[in-house]
Amino acid sequence: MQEFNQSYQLNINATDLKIDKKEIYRILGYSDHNLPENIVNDVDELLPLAFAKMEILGGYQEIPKTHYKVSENSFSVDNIDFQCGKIILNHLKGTEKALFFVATLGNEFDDYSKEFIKQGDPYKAYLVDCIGSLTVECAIDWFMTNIENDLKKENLSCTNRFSPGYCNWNVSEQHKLFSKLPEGFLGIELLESSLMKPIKSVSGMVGIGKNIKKMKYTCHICDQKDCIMRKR
Amino acid sequence: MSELLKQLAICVEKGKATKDSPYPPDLKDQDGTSEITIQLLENGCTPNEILKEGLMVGMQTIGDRFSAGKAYIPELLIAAKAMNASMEHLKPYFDNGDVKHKGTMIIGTVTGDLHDIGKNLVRMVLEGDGWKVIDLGTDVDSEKYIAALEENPGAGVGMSALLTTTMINMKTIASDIKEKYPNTKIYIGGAPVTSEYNDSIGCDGYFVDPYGLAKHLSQGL
Repeated sequence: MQEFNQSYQLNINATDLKIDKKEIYRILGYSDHNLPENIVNDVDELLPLAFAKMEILGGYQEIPKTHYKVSENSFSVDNIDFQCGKIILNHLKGTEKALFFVATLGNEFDDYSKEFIKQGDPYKAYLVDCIGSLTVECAIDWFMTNIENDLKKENLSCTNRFSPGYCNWNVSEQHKLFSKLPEGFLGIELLESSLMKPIKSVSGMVGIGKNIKKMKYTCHICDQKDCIMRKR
Repeated sequence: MSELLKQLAICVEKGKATKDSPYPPDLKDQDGTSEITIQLLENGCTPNEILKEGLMVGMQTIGDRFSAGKAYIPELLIAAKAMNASMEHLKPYFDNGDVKHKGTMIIGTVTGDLHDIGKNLVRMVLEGDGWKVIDLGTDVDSEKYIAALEENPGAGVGMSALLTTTMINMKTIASDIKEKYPNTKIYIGGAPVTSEYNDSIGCDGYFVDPYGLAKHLSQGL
């Protein structure tokens, strides 16, 4: 059980996220000059249907400063060492508390995408998958923006957000992160392989403090060359 | 006849499955792969000619455009859908042995991993290149691969993984398969996978995209 109890969760409405269709097209590989008409029409058709299948939840567990330490080589919460790499450690220095967060689109959305595969239509399954990938990222951005707006009232600000699997933070560390979340938080199950179920879920952490500034992601000094965030 | 075969290849490349499909606009109200295949069969074209001179040509063209960065995954999937509309008419000829596949590939996403987009692309491309593909789905362990190999002696195996945490399961599966069927060719792919990793776990090839695998398999025939 958590020794600290500040956890929080929120239902998020997909229409509040103001998904930019151009971002969906970009994930699919297209820009304004090469966008086929059928892609536009199919995204238009599938977007509201996909939204209807989402039950978007965002939540976090607050980690008070008394429970964690940041050193040159590690970030530890109580007795657990997180091997999150130097890039993230640099961001966490000087923080006064940390938030471990998760967001998910829910199980029904996962099933919706699989339906198209069963119907022999991997094309639509792929479009729905891309819509889901963008939506869950937008959901966590929206959720964090709300948190940041509240923090501003206390003259506090957030670091960039970081997730296992990025910035040299090994994805297997998901298990450590989840060990600090309330049991069954937002209905997300963490599989042995570190994959979250529902599959369209995001997890990670931010640091919070008075003199904290967001910085550009320093992809040029990260050796994770296959990271999809490089393309953002 | 050759004009119809050319038209079939164009319909595959552009993803025109049936006449009532409004896309692409330049082929509106024209026959799609389904109608053209029926006409070709009625005109005496052999299923083998339809496969090799129509469908595979169309899939190769879209594949070349994809490899050159001039087409994207949705176009590949639409093309595959158009090809499948034609294959429905050829299925009886495969079933009775009039047309033979190049061979059989058993594919899946390995234990612990639920990602299937890459694996689905491999399936589409191999089918479009004339292979019989047995898709075991996601979260596939050694037992499932071995059971499929028992039913399909001599088949090749394809393994996919998207995470570093699931990629490591390829080693166990490859070892289990090679122990029981040492001559089985095993190929791997996925975002974290590399040629070095392929070599380190004793597999037979890593490919960046499905076309690399298709080309390699065809060269081995």
